[in-house]
Order: sequence, then structure tokens, then C-alpha cells
Amino acid sequence: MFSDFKFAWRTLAKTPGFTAAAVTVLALGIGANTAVFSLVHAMLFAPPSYTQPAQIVQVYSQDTKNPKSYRGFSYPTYQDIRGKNSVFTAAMAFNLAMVGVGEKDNTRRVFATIASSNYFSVLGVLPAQGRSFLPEEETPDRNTPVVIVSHSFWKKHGSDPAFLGSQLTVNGRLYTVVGIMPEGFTGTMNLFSCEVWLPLGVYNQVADNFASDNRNALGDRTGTQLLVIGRLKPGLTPATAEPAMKTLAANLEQQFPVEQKNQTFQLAHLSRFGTSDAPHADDEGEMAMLGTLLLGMAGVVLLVACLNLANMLLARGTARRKEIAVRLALGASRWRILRQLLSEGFLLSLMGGAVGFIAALWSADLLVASLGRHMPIDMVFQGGPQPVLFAATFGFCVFGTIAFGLLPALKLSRGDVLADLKEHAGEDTGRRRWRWLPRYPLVVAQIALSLALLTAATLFIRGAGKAAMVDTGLKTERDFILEVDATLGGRTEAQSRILYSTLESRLTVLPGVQSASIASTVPFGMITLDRRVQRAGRRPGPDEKPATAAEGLAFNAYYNSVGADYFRTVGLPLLRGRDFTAVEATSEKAPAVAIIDEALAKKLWPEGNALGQRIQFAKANAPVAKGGGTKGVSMSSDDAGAVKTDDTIEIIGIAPVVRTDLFQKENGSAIYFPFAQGFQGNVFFHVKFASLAPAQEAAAAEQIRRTVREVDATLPILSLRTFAQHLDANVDLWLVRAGAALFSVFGGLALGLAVVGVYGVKAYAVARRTREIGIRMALGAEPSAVLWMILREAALMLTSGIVLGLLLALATGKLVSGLLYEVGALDPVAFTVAPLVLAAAAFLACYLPARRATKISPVMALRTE
Amino acid sequence: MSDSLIKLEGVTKVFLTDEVETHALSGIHMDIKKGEYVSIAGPSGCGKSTLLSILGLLDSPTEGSYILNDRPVQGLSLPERARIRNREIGFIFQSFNLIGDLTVYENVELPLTYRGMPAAERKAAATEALEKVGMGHRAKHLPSQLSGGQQQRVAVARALAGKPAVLLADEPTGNLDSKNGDSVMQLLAELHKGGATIVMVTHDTRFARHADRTIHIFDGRVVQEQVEQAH
Ligand SMILES: Nc1ncnc2c1ncn2[C@@H]1O[C@H](COP(=O)(O)OP(=O)(O)OP(=O)(O)O)[C@@H](O)[C@H]1O
Ligand SMILES: [Mg+2]
Repeated sequence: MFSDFKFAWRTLAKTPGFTAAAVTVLALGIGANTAVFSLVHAMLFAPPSYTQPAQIVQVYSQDTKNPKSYRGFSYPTYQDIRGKNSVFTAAMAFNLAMVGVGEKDNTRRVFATIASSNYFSVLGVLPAQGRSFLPEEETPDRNTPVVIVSHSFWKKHGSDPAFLGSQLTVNGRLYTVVGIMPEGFTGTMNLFSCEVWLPLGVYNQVADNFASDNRNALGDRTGTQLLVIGRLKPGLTPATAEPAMKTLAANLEQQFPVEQKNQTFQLAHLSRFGTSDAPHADDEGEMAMLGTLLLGMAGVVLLVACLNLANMLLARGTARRKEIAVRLALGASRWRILRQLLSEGFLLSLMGGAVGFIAALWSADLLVASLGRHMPIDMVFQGGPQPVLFAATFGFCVFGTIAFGLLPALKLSRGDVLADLKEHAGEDTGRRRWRWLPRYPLVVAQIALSLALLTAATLFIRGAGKAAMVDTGLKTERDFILEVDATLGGRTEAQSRILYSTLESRLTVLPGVQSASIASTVPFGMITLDRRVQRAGRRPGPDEKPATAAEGLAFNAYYNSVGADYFRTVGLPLLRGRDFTAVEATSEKAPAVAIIDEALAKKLWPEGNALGQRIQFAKANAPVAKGGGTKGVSMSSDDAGAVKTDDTIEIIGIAPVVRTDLFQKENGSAIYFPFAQGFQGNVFFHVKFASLAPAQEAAAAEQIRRTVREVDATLPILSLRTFAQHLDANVDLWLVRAGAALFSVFGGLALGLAVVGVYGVKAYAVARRTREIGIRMALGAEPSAVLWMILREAALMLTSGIVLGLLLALATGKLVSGLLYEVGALDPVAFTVAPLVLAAAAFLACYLPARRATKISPVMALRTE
Repeated sequence: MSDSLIKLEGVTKVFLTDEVETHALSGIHMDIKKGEYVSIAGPSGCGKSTLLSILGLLDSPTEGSYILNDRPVQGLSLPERARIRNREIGFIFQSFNLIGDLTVYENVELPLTYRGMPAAERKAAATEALEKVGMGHRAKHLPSQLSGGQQQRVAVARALAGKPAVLLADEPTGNLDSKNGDSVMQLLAELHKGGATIVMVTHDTRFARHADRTIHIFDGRVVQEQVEQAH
């Protein structure tokens, strides 16, 4: 066996050009697969960062009356579970929050986990430096300012050895760093990680509740702030442990009939990516689909590479037919020859795999880094060489060898000794049996496969183009968006209200500024809010089935609370009615009013007389019509700032429909409140300039910055950019673009390989047929006749490849249609452009050798004996 | 209109390879009349094949003039030369040079298709040529299924199917045993009797006797012209 490899090495070294080409082709094919595999592995298969994951389960609190409804736990309930359960060795509680962390002069928003003191011991991972939280630090309102940071957070701070024990500003207050987690620890999720951990004792001081109705203090039994995770005793599974938990839930319900009414407990393993109070987040199915798709694409690239190489080997083999015939004639067995040829193939694979492996590690890191820049949460990707990646790459090499090496080896080792010894090296002897079939089925297959990928790529590129051109419905050309959060600096709501009001009026009177307005959310922002509204008056119970707005049906609506000048600032003139007055916008005590958009107005009053009517917020369990609103956070009814569920609200204006995020199924259905009625800590200021040339943008931004400093030097600026930049940084848009980029890379690789394949096969065919072409020329074939002969054969090959490819592309389009952004699976542009590009490239790849054929000198051709 | 078919004046051919000049032909004068059967003889490397490829417009002389059928042919474009090759010249090679994946019939038909001849005419001409060389019954075979002698007969049929002005044969019997060689020579002699102009390179003095005259070449020059006794 070893001697086989030694001989294979010598043979390959003799043709360095061929070897280099083959290794390059394989490196592309195998590298693409290793890169994708390393991502998919991290996404779907890599074990979580906590130890013995089979024992780790989350406790879910389910409503027995409404089984689809889940909620979190209060701290006292968590204590009961921890103390009274019989199935866990230990149970911990935590919640996520966003906090402002001071870094130099800046405040950065990071995800924080607020955790019970045993959080780390339950997960089985202790800080690499320093200590975990102490039990007393967990006590509600104990308020010991200590923080544990992630390895990547520490690295962002220069891996300073003195970082442990130093002070860190969190929400405007100094915390002592007591621990640094080991590298790769991502808490309860995979791939995504919080950057800091705080003890439950500071919960009431830092939790921003941006996403929920957790307005209760942590010690209050009515709260639902916490998620509970336990480590099962050895031998237990979620299923075997659940009955004991249900019993515990029943006991608690007896003990606390109000707080625990209708609550039972469920156990399930953690979602890989989500942190939720409900089990079975569906993101994993989507991830699996995405992963499969990526692996499939990469697989096709490898297949194309293998087909390509098989062709090269066949071509080389024809030239070696004589050598092989001589060896067979000398008595070598067919198996021996086969082994020899496969050894050569495997050696090529290994070399390609080695190069591809390095390229893959590098490109996967690059991709994740690019993704990370657009994510609001820290991505912790463990790149680098891992045993599982080595194994996968080796697997691709073996697959590759079989895919590209076996067919040529079988064909060559069959060897018709006599014919091969006699024939002119490399010429066709005899007639091909199926003459109407294209000469090179492997190239046809390559063309077909790469056309499928290329069409998919074009579909995605079209989607990305449409996404980038998306019309928000706003006129925001000269608009800056300033994002601040006074509560991150530790201010109270009352202080923040005054601060925001001052800032808004100062921004409005800046030189060059046309108008400015506060808003609690921005279209295409990270967070969107939903409310459910219905006509004032009727409140149908959960069991009723109202069919119309008049019967009390409630509707989802995108929710925004804005300043008096909002509609003017974002270029959205009201269709009917009036804007908010300055008093309404700034005073909590003003009567409740709202502006709704045309879509919501039509839903609530289909007759078209919504203006001047009154509406109300629906209760949590009210029947709601499908559709409307956003995919964002839905606030429950008892969390609505100044407007209480029982108040009725007058509709004072009707606004045009606006698009609020990229993947919105249905545009519109929005309700706007005066900011004073819907206060929020995290706010945006729209600042519209009278004129704003690109050259002036930096100065304008500086002007805004200076104003913020003048109003309050300690107010953290979370972001400041033009509306165009804001849209450009949208995560959804990035996803669409990343999809397009990935598909383009794979489509481009496949296209490149196929074109090289076509060129190789044609160039080789022309070289091989030199004599025949010489004869034809001697018999009077004009150069143009020779050109046409070669191109005609190429056309047959290309046409069959393209027809097959279009069929494959149809299937691929159907497959990816769910991931496409506003592009049909049969998009005529994509199905025209992709085949044209491929045909043009492939035709050129044929034309060059064909033209070379016309330059053949018949005298020289006929002399070769 | 003269009865001279081929007229060479001062034809020289110099090959340049790696700075080395090879004078394959040096000042050849030659005059071949319509209906003549000329054999060319000389030692290996003296320039016989080079001369023949110039006569067949596969190559052009470095110097000198070539008049074919009263028409100067140096300085013609590649397509024009191809057209003249197709209509005026029939080649017979030592190694037959049939196209392996075309049938016997298709090989013979090939030069006629390049002429743009209608299918029916092509069929008549190709069939006639094959009958003439006695290979009509093998029309559907592939070259690899024929013996060397048979392949050369097919090559002759291919050369004469288009009724060219001249047949050029470069050692047509070189790859054949003497029996097959004899019969191919017999075939050429018959064609000559039927009026064909033939220029043939041969080493074999036996076959040279079939010709009207033999031109001896040495080192790229005509050294002797000899009228064959048989005629
Ligand atoms: N393309 C070429 N490049 C360089 N030299 C050439 C080329 N063709 C022919 N020659 C040289 O020209 C000379 C004449 O060659 P040619 O083939 O005409 O000889 P020949 O008389 O046909 O010989 P033989 O009887 O062996 O076939 C030789 O010396 C040969 O090496
Ligand atoms: Mg010769």
C-alpha cells in the first residue's frame, strides 16, 4: 500500500501542472464543505458549553386552562422549587437584560444575565479567574455591585491581567469585576453569549424589562421575571422527572391559590439559541433547514469539482492508455492497476483537503466575524482545527476520491490491450455507440449543477437588491437618528422624561435643523413593539368568537410613542385629522389620544369613519384577529405606560401606512401614541436637516453629539447615524445579503469550476483530434468549417447541460423559495440572467479552443506519427 | 490555355526551427501536364514530402512561384487555399488517414460535404468512387474493421470522389505488404489510364515504372528526370 502511494507521488510529481490544477479544484470543493460544515456543526451539533447537557433541563410554567400560554417564575416561586423539588441536584434562576457598560468615554449596550448565585455551579462551569456569586449577593435588593464577565469581554478589554478586581460602569454605577469566565463559555445558549453576569441582588436596579411585563419587584410572588433551570439527578430524564414537578406545582397552587392559579410545571431540554419562558422555540427547525441548505450547496460544489477532476483524470488517462496497456500486457492484474489509480486520486484528495482545510478555517472565521458585527449579541465561535473538522475533511477526501477517481480508474484499468498498443495515442477508435448523446456527460452534469446553483444565487441576489431598495414609506433623506437611554445611566423615569423633553427642544432649534422628534421605536430597528386594540366598549371573553370589529374583535398593531413633530420630521403627512399637540406629547396628564394608520383604521371601522372614534387596549386573553403588528415584542395589556387598559382613547388622526421591518408579511396596522403616554427608557430622536450633503454629515453628527453633551454630559449615546446608515445596518437586511453573498460564492465557485471543466474538455478534445482536424483541412475544410464543427458539438453539450440545469434550478428555486425575499421561485429575471451568464462563459470557454483548432497546420498535424 | 497543370518556378522551402535553418527545397523547377503520371524519388529527407505538401497547398513555398491550372496560387487566403484543395486536389497518404469514427462511406463523402454538394449528388459520387476502388460492399464499415490495403483503397476513393485535377500520393504503399501494395498501384495505373493526373512519391523503383516519368530529388534539388521505359 505504501509503495502504491510512493509510486503515485512520483507519477503526480511528473506532471506538476496537472497536479496543481487538480489540487486547486479539490481545495475549492473540499474547503467549501469544511467551512460550511464547521458553521453547521457549531450551529446544530456542537455540544453546549455547560457540562453533561443531558442532565440540564428548563422548568416551564404552563397555564392548565390555556396550554399554549407559558410564563416565567417569581423569585419566591423559584426558591420553593429549589427547596422542595425531589428531582434536581440543584436548580438556578436567571433572566436576560440589556445594560449599558462604560468603555472609555463610550457606553456600549451589552446583553447581561442576571443570575442566582448557583448559576455557574448548576451549569458546571466556574469562572476561570476569580469567583462565582456568593449566596448573599442573590438576595433581592441586597444590591452588591459585583459583575462576572465573559472571556471575550475580557479580551475586548485587552486581556488585562489587572481586569479582575477592577471597576466597571454598568448602567451608570461602578461594579467590581469578581470573575472572568473561561473561553468558549456561552451560558445557556450556543454560539450566542451574554457578555456580563450580574447577581439577582441587583435585579431591581438593572433589569430594563424592555421585553415584558416584569414590572414587579423581584421579591414579589406575583412576578414572572425568572427562568428556572435545573440539573437532574443521575438516572432521571425530563419525562421521568416531570410527574414529581407536576405534584410540586399542584402543592404550590394549593399554597398560593392566587399567584399559582392554573399553573403546572413542564420539563424540557434547553433550546440551543433561544432564551424563552415557553418550550420548543421553532428557531431550531429554521436553523436545521438553513444548515441543510448550506451543506447541500457546498455538496454540489464538491460534486462539480469531482466531476471536473474525473474529466481531467479521464483525459490524462487516455494519454496514459498506452502505459497502462503495457503494464497489463506485462501481467499486472486489473486490481493492481485500479489500486494504483485510486492511490493517485486519494493522494490528490489529501493534498486538496489540506489546502482546503486551511482556507476553510480562515473563511469560516471571516464569515462569523462579519455576522458578529451585525448582531446585537456577542457571537462566540470556536473556530480553529478541531478533531471533528479533521474527521469531516477526511470524509470529504474519501468521498471525493470515490466520486472523481473510481469511474476513470475502472474505465482505464479495463484496458483493451491490443487496441491501445496499436492506436495513435489518445485518438478515438471506432464509433461511439450513442452518437446523438453529448460527448462529455460529466461536463453536461457540471453545467447543469452549476446552473442550478447560479440560478439560486441570482434569486438571492435579486432578493437582496429588492431588500436594499425597500420603501419604508417615510421620507428620511436628511434624517439623523440618535439613540440614547437615560435609564442605562441610572436615571429615574421622571428624570429621563425631563431630559428627553429638553433634548428634543434643543435639537429642534439647532441651526440647519428643520424639525426633530422623539420616538420609542424606529422602523427597521432592533426592537418593535406590538399592542392589541379594539373598539371602545365591548370586551368579549376568551371563549367568544367575535367576527368583526363591531362585535369586539381586537387587532394587532405596531406600536410607537412619538413627539409632537414626529410625522413632519419623518415625512409622513397625516391623511386626516391632526398631529399631537406639544402638551399631549409631553404631559402625562393630557387626555388619551392616538393616531392610527389607514390599515388599522380600515380594520376597526371598515366603513371609513374611524377619525374621532374611541378605542381601548384589549385584555391579554381577548380574541384577536390574525395578522397585523410585527414579529417583535408584544407587550401585555397591563404594561402600557400612562394609558391604562380601562381608559378609552380618542383617534385624532389617520396616518399613511409605513413599513416597519423587512420581513413584514402585511404592511401597516400601526398605532401611534404621544411619547408622554408611552414612556420608554430606550428612545430615538429623529433629526431632520433642511439640507444635508454627504460632506456635511460628519459636521451635523458632531453638532448633535455636542448638543447631547451640553444637555447632559453623562447621557450615553448608543448610536448616531443617518437613516440610510440605519437601514443599511439592519440585521434582517444583513441576513438577506449574507444569504445572497453565500449563494454567490457557491454559485461563482460552481460556475468557475464548470467553465474550467468545459474549457479543459474542449482544449483537450481539440488537442486529441489534431490529426483528424488536419485531415479534414487537407480535404478542404475551411477554417470556419472547423470552427463550426467544434462549436456545434459544444452547443450540443451546453444546451443539454443548460436544459438539465434549468430543471434542477426549478427544483432548487422551489426548495429555497421560503428563504427568498420578495422574489418568486420562478423569477423570470433570475431564470434568464443565470442561464445567459453561464452560456456566455461556457461558450467563451469553448470558443478559445475552437479558434485554436482553426490554427492547426495540416502539414504538422499529419506529420505526427 | 496550356496543357500544363502544375508549374513550379524557383521554389524553395526553408524551415526555421530553434535558429536552425533547414533548406528542404532549393530552387525547384517543375512542369506537370494534364493527364501525366509523375513519380518522385529520392533518399529519405531529401524533401519529397515537403514538395508534395506545397503542390497540395498544405504549405506554401518560402520563395518561387506556383501556378496551378493557369492560376498563381501563392498569396491566396487560407479559405481560398482550402477551397482549391477541396476541388482540385486529392490526397493519398502513406498512413491512410481515414477518420476513425466515420464510416467508409462518410469518409469518402467528407470532401464533397465541404464543397456544399447536395446530398443526392454526394451519394452518387461517393458510391461511384467506392465502386471504382472495389469497396462498395464495405460502405457501412468503420476503418478499423478493414485491412490496410482496403483502408488505402477507401483513401483513394476519397481522393478521387470529387474528381480533382490532380491526385497527390505520398508513398501510398509504404504501410502495405507487397500484395496489397501491388493492387493499390494497379488501381492508380487504371485511374491514370482513365485520364487522371497523378503525382506520387515512392521509394520503390518497381512502382515508379507505372509512371510516365520519374523526377529524382537530392538534397532539395531536382537532379535527374527520367522517362520510364514502359511507355
Ligand atoms: N516542419 C518542419 N520543420 C523543420 N524541418 C522540417 C519540417 N518539415 C520537414 N523538415 C525537414 O525538411 C527536410 C525534408 O523533409 P521531408 O519530410 O520533405 O523529407 P522526405 O523526402 O519526405 O523524407 P522521407 O523519405 O523520409 O519521407 C528534412 O530534413 C526534414 O527534417
Ligand atoms: Mg516523406
